[in-house]
Amino acid sequence: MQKRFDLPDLGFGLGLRTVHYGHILRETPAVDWFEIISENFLETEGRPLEILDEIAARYPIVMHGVAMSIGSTDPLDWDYLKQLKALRDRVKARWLSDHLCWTGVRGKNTHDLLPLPYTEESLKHVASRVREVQDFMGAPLLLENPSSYAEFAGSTMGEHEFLAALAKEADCGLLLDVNNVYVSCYNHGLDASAYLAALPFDRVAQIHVAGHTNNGPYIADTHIGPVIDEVWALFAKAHEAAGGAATLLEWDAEIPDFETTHAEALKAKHYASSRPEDTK
Amino acid sequence: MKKSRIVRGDGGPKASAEESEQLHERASATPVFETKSMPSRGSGPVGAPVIGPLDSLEKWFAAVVTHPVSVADGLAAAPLAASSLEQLIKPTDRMSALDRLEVYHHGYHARLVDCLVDDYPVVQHAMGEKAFAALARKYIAAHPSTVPNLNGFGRRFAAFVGDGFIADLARLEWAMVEVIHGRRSPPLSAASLGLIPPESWPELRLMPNGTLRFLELDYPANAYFQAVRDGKKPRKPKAQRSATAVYRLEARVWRMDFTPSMAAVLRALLAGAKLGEALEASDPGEADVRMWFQEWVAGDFFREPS
Repeated sequence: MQKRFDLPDLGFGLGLRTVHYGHILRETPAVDWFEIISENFLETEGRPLEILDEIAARYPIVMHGVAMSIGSTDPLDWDYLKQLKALRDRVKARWLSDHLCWTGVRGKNTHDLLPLPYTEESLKHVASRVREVQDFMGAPLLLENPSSYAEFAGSTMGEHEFLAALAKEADCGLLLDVNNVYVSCYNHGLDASAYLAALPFDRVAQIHVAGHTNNGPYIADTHIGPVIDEVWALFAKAHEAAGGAATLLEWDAEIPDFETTHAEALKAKHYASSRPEDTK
Repeated sequence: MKKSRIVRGDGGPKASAEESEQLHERASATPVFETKSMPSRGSGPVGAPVIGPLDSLEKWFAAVVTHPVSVADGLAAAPLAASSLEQLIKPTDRMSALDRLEVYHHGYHARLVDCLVDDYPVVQHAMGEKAFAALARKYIAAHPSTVPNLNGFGRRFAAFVGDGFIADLARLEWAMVEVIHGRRSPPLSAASLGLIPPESWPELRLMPNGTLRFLELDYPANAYFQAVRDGKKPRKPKAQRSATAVYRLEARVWRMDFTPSMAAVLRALLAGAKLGEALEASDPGEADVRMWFQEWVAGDFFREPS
């Protein structure tokens, strides 16, 4: 396998959010790339697509999904996958990602990223579905480690081991969310460094950073506020281990103005392993 | 007394346009939990871990975390494949297995209630947060989502509410959502109308654009909506027929109130009547039919003939 499937290191990007549309369209700020939540642009023929077309004409776009439900025991939703493919072609998205989770079963969608038991059965099930999706898309799928708040007692391996085995078995890429690593390790009493150490970094094509909310007994992955130092430290390790990877900030609640949000995303440069363009 | 004025909110073009934050969006984030910390309930004795087939585990988990009332009720309703909850869900030293399921139960409902708040902010204002949340929870239980995205999740809300002022207000707010997502075809322009010889006008049939919704309601929902947007505290109005067009120009959503006479003309046009026939529906005493029509064309109400 070629490192990262030859997917480009797009630099330091930002999650595209509606509150920033006006600024982006007016000012065309210098941003390396934008990531969209794919579902916001499906089942619409109107304004979301009109605006996305304009933004996609100016910036590289990556699609991040929340509804593939790759771990569900329901059949894959081919209507959804067709729409996803059409959107990818429309905006010339560089790649597609979704989460290692399931979002519903028996036809009911919870719109949440629900945890999987990490067993051989789940591994086989998810790997075969990832292969089907990749065959249909004709491109690698990147799967992201989710934040989770519950663990199944019957899991026979850790999430990091599951991800490593899955990436190999399904021959897929990984979107490593270092905030989610921090959140899940806090919630389950695990060691984040050991988690990172087990990952196949040659498959990590993208890294997410985000803020979160510490409620005491557990951390919620709210994507609020600045990224904390401990998460930046994990990012520095991951970015170096991956030999550089497209990096993106997610900020989804109490979103500040564009400049503040972008400045937070650009902090990643400070923690990133040096890249040729940084030394210019 | 005849009313022939074009009523458009408070008259200022900006006041009746909706800014882009009206457009709701989904994220991969977990909703904020109102309570900042949860008391740990400790954990019971943990037996040997149990793992059934993935399919039954998912079915069980989904039934518990989407239960309309609580995790405890969900657990009572969904039989466990284990003798204790802890054999399925690991407790931690800070949280019991039940607490951990509580996070997902809260997240499921909060996310969908937030989605309805995005779609129906003025209904929420009219009802109050608490009453709206209670109604939203009932709606979520009655109409769970079955599709990958939430853009259409709230579409049955007005019908769920039934009749009355709140239902009409919900119809207005849903029309605004539909107009955002409606396809904008090349609009009929004043220039292309100018090319049509005047003697052909009565025979003209006009096709509505995908960015137009026309509502005829039992309550003056738009007047209430505009008052709330203007920062006023309007009372819930008494029944009084109203007609409002909701339409989109580029990125902005606008609302235009109609007199009964104007409404009769647009209703006829949208039903496929020829322009000449539709105009017969207007009050002959109203001289400004031409002015309305220009407003409608300027509002991209109609499509360019294909």
